[in-house]
Amino acid sequence: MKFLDDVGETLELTKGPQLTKQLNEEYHKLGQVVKAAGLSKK
Amino acid sequence: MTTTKESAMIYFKKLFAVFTILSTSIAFAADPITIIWPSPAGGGGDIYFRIFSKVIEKEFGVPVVVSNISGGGGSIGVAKMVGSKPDGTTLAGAWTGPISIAPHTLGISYTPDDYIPVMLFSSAPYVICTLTNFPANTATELLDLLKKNPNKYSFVTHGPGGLAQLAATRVFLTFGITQRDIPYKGAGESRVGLLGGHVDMYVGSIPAILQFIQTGSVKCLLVTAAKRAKALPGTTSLSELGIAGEETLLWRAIFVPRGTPPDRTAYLEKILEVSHVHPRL
Repeated sequence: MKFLDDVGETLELTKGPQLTKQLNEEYHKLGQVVKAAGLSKK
Repeated sequence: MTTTKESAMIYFKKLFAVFTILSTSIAFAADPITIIWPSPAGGGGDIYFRIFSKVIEKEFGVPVVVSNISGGGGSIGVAKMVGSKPDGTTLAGAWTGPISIAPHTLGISYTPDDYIPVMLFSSAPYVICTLTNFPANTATELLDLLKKNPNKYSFVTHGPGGLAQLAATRVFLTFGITQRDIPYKGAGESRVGLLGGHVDMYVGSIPAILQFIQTGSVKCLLVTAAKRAKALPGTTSLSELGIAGEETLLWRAIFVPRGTPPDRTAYLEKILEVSHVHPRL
């Protein structure tokens, strides 16, 4: 993990249905955050 | 932290295990792969995927080309992947911005229904950094200075509606701060904006700015995560400011177009998984 260690990033291996679920949840959550921050597309 | 020896052992165990699976997918082995990186060369993700591509080439004999297709906060490159033939030879490396943010902030054509996430590799905060002569030395001093001087200072973004803009805006709004955002095409270019004195604050990934922190020309005052970053143990986290809920993280993942055959996706998943635990990465 040389690159990740050097730059202080965290290994986080996610795949398959779990990844799809995680990204779908994030997609909808950040949609709400964007709206609250006034950054929604005009 | 994983040691180099432990990393090597993990890697070789996974490499051995995957050969049996790959032997049934030999028809794919000669197909060259293009990984679209939707940002200019020189940023942390670009460096990461170029190392990644060399590992795949060396260990699996699969030719890999990294293609930088930038613009639109990463959405142009992702749209290129979405529109490519779904045969598993064109992939996109992408981060949080063009996948989870840009669809809400820009008028782009794709949705989560248009791609398949194959694998997510890493997670990290963004950082807010300045040149060392900037008149604030802590996160609290920075926020106080910005609040007292609306629109006096500027910060880089990777285009409107991207991760950097969202990460900074979430923090700034919480403290009633308004400053000017200056769009750049990616972390590699935005750090040049900071180093050249064209903007006051860098907002972006750690890898792209780390060498300048280490040489003393840049200082980072805030990470956009609830916890401090391993690479910057002296930099304040959002929890310490009482706003852990405003965390914005950068992840990196690989995607293929919707319609890519499951056996091809499974093949890619295996070589990516093995390559990812290579000691160089």
